Amino acid sequence: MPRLFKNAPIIIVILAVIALIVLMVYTEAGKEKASMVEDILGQALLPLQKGFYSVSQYVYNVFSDIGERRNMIRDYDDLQARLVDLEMELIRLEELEKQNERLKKLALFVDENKEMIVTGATVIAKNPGNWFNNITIDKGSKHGVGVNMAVVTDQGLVGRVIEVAEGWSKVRTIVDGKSAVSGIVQRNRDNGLLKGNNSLGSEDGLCRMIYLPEDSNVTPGDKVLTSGLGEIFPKGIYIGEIIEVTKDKRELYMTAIVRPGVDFQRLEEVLVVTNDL
Amino acid sequence: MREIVVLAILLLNLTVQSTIFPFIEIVNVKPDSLLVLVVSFALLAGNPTGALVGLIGGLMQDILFGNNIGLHALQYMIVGCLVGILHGKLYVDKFFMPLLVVMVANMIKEVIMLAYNFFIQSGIPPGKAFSQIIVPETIYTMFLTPLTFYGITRLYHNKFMRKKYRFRKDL
Repeated sequence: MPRLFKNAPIIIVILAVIALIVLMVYTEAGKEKASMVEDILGQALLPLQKGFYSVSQYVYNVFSDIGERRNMIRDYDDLQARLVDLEMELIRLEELEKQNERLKKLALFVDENKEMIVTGATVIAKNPGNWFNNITIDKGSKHGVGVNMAVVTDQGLVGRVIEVAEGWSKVRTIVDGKSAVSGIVQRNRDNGLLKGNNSLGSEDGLCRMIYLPEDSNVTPGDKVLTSGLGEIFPKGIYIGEIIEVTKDKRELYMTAIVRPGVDFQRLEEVLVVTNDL
Repeated sequence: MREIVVLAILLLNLTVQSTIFPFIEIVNVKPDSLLVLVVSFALLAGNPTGALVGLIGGLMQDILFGNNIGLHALQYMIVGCLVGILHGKLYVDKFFMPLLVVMVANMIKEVIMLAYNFFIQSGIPPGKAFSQIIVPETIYTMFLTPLTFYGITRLYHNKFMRKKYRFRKDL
């Protein structure tokens, strides 16, 4: 007995390690409802996180505004020239939109946009580590948020809800290494799968669009939308713009690097939308 | 009292880490202040404390942000436990020793992370992860060390933090 007692600390540590590994394996494959402990801890931290996040957002904005002001005069001339171009473009687009709407009605499509939105939410925290890209939002099951709902901003797709507590939820962003979104290139309707770029250092904030058809003629500048396949994300949400296309000789598919429309560094308000109506 | 203070520190740290640190990223890497805290506690208080602080701090991070529960807890507990073994066996000055220990501890932490990534087949190339996450993170974290370690040292000047030692003397 005394020998066992002397080794007790080591045994405890080994047992703890085994217990943690078992817990890890057990919780790895998607638990969707936050447990009671999680809920309480999250609820307690919520106001604190809200406060801290808005303060740091403010400080960040002050500093980045200083940098932006320097370029303002130069940008002003450029922007005015662009404004003229864009107004022309806008007229053309409005025409197209009207046409599009008529065609949509003909094909018995419903404009789902307004009914899709579940709730607006505020980002209150981000994953502290450097390996994953999850965010926490301040709306949960009591506001109607459910697992697998899509999260968007006016700039495009943010990610999807992976876990819901009563008053907050975890969102896996599309730049997270574990995220996979089915996407479609707007111009030539090529399908592909958008994987997060594992948030590796300088490539942070980019996605990789894989499984593009070999004969695809995608070029940098093409826009990527959600395809609606897989039934998690509603069809036609803007994801981002292709900035680079690569093809490995040995591979049967092309790969494109996509810069998401959303600036994950400056995420504040998001919308939760659902696919089932 | 002591437990409450340590818990409060861990909670505050988690809040700061998840809200303010995203805005002070350099080369897209955030420093790991929890690791510095775990190392500081382990160096100053030895083992049950070191391992426990790591376990609890890691668990809180897992619960609020993790993809699973246990990964960060495992990382920080092992780090806390290993550093805790050094307590009393190592002369710890105010500056260089904590820096060195934090550097090694962060490497150990990231080796566990690499192993995890290997087992879930995340496809992250280890070499790239090493140069783009591990090295910058370690350097950035080392910058946080002196101030944090100083803070925790000052904390241990308080009587309530040393309660256990006095209890032993009385015995």
